[in-house]
Amino acid sequence: MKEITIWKWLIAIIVILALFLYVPVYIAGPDCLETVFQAYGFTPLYHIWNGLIPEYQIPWIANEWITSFLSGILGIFIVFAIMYGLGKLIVRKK
Amino acid sequence: MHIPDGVLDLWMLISFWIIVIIAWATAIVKSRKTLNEEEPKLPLLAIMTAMIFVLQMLNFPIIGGMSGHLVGFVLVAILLSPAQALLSISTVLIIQALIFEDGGLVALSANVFNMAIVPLFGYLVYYGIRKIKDDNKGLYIGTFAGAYISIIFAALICGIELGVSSLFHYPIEVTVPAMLIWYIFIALGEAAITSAIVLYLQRSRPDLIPKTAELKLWW
Repeated sequence: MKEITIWKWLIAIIVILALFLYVPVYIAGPDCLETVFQAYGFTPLYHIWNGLIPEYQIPWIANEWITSFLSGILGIFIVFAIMYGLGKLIVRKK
Repeated sequence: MHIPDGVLDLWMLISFWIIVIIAWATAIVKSRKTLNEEEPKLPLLAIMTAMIFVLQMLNFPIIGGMSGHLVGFVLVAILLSPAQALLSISTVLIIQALIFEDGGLVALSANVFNMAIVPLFGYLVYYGIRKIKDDNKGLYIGTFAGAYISIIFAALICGIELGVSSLFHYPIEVTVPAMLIWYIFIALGEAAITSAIVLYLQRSRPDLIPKTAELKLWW
C-alpha cells in the first residue's frame, strides 16, 4: 500500500469543511429526529451535560461561519489524535 | 439521529451500555491483530475518523426544510473493517457528546448502538453483493445498497427505541413510520456520498479499496 500523507489529507478535510460551511449547504433546517420531537410536542425530560462548545458555537464568537469553522478544526484534530493514539495503543499491546 | 438525554428509559440505556462495552472490547482485542499486520493503515483509520466528524457536522437539506447528515459506518467498514468502523464512529460520537453537546452523554450508548453497531447490516449487504458480483459493478451496487440499508436499519431501530421508551408517549406504530418517512430520503444522501467517495478513491487510490478476496467480515 502506498504511503498515506497525513497532512495532505487533513488539509483536504479542512478545505471541505470550509467550503461546505461557506456554501449554503449548511443552512438546512432541524434534523429529522428533532422534527419528529417537534411534530409530537416532545421535549427531552432531562439534561445532564453541557458540552464545552454546545452546538459547535463558541460562545464569544458571533460570526456563525467562523465559530463553526473553528469548532470543526478543533474537532478534526481532537478526533484524529484520539483515533490515532488509540490505534497506536492497540498496536503496541501485542 | 443523535438522541439527546431524557428521551430513552434508563433501563434501555444501561442495556445499550452493556452491549456497547462488549462490542468495544471485542473490536479492540480483535483489531489488534489486523492493525499489527496492517500498521500503515492506522493513519487511514485516523483520517477517515476526522473525515466522518466533518461529514457528520455538515447537514444536507432534504424535503420539507429538514436536514440530514452522513453516518459513515459503511464507508469506514468498506475501506478498513466493521470493527474499525465501530471504533471510528464511536470516537466521533464520544467527542460530539462531550465537547459539542451533539447527542446525550448517558444516551451515548444508544447513539453508538444505532450508528456504529446496527449499520453493520448495511455492510453485510455490501459484503454479500461483492462476494456474488466480483467486479466494479459489484463494488458500486454494493456500496450504494449497503450505505442505504445501513441508514434504514438505524432509523428503524431508533424508531423502535422511541416507541418502547416510556418517556416518549407514542407507540411503535407511530414512531417507526415517523422516522422512516424521512430517513428513506436521508439514506439516499448517505448512499450518494458514500458511493461518490468510494468511486473517487477507486479511481485515485484503488489500493485503498480491498479486493473481494481480502474483504473483512468482522475485524
